[in-house]
Amino acid sequence: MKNNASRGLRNLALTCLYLLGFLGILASGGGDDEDEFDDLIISSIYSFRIGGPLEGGAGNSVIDIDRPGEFSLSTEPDLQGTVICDQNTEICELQTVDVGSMFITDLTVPAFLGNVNILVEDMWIYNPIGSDRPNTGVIRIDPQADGLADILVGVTDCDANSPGAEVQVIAVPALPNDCYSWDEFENLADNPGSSLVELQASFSWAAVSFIVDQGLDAGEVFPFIVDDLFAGGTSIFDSCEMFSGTWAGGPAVNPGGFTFDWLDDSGDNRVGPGDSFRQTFADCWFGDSIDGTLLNGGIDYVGYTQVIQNELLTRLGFEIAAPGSGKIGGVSFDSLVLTETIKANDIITTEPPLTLTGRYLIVFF
Amino acid sequence: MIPDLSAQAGIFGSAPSFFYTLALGLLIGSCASSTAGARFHCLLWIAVALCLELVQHRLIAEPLVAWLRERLSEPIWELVGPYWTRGTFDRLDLLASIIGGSIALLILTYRSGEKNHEK
Repeated sequence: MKNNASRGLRNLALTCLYLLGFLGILASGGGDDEDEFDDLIISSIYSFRIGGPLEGGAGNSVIDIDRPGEFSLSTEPDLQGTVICDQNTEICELQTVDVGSMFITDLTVPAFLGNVNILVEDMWIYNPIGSDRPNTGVIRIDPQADGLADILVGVTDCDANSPGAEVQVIAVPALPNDCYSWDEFENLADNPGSSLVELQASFSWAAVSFIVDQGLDAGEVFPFIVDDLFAGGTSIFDSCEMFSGTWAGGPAVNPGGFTFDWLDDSGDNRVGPGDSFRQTFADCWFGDSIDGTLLNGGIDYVGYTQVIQNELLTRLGFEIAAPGSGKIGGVSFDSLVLTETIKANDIITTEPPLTLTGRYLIVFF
Repeated sequence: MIPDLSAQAGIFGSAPSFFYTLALGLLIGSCASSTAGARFHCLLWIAVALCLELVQHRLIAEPLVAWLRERLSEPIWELVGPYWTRGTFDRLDLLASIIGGSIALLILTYRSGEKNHEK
């Protein structure tokens, strides 16, 4: 009788312990703790990757850039580099674009440019940090058409006065004048008198720079998420900068604004890994009256990933969608329209709008 | 030379798995009525801990989340859902659970050997 009671007690204790152990693990939430999000700090330096294969065999990252009537290109980026971050302001600036970064670029319009593969062959270094253009760096442009030789484009110093102030284009056969100031080089793509080599060189460099900029712009939404600025709601609205320019085609609403919406894909009622976000721009102007960009349209940020070690954010990105959400991780453009200013002969005008579509993976680690 | 322990966050991040499996393994084993029972229950506990880690693997977690979300009530899902939606499968956690459980098993075996010897 006593043995039976003792056995019963033991079995009850065992059952309770199994239950306690089982529920203890489940309730731990997979290792996350509410408190660990209170004092997160960002690292002072991150490597980043933009592009590469998307999750679940969804193919490669692809960004399509379309300027109707002028050009249309589709590029598969696989770009690596580093950013330096201010831990107080949480603002990160580009430091390098690393060797090995490559872009498989399909220039559908104008067709005569042909398709090119672009490889970063020498590291792009931005010094001082925050510069608009790198001081060093080389890309190799590999035209896919038969019989065309590779083109090397490098930041250089043709007149030995100002390192990084010029761009040299090395092609076979050699160009009559292969050294350009930055402005000359960037304007080659818009100059009807440019040769095929010059057009490919300028287009390719611009494509790499543009993708880097888009990736870093996407990184600017992380503070909204990390600091959970939703204040208990699901949407943030902020106004953009005031437009004071005089060109036609400025924002219809001034200042315009953007909304940043949180979608709780992970279903845990808190902003965090697995969740998605959508940023919608309405006549949103970034810049001053003479130099800026007007944005309209949307960007979806799907599958937020975050790794924390000792309160330090060691990995941030949009990589893996929440299980069961049916989404694909990454940043995708929902017909985002960019209108940028251009200065020609001291007159500020706007370039025809660019429309972006496609999806790419982004991660800082 | 002093090792830089702060650089070993990946290993120490698995410490809870190690201690949890070890402690629960010892408690569960010590509630069993015999040496064989203690070993059996300790092994069973290790298996449960390993299974719970394995179900965080994306291949299992994804269909499991879709299935559980439809069946569990909202308060229960809010309690246990984050285990799959926020948690990630970690091989180091798996290893830590195996080591913690094995140590518990060794202690239980050693203690029962001592008891037998005393008798």
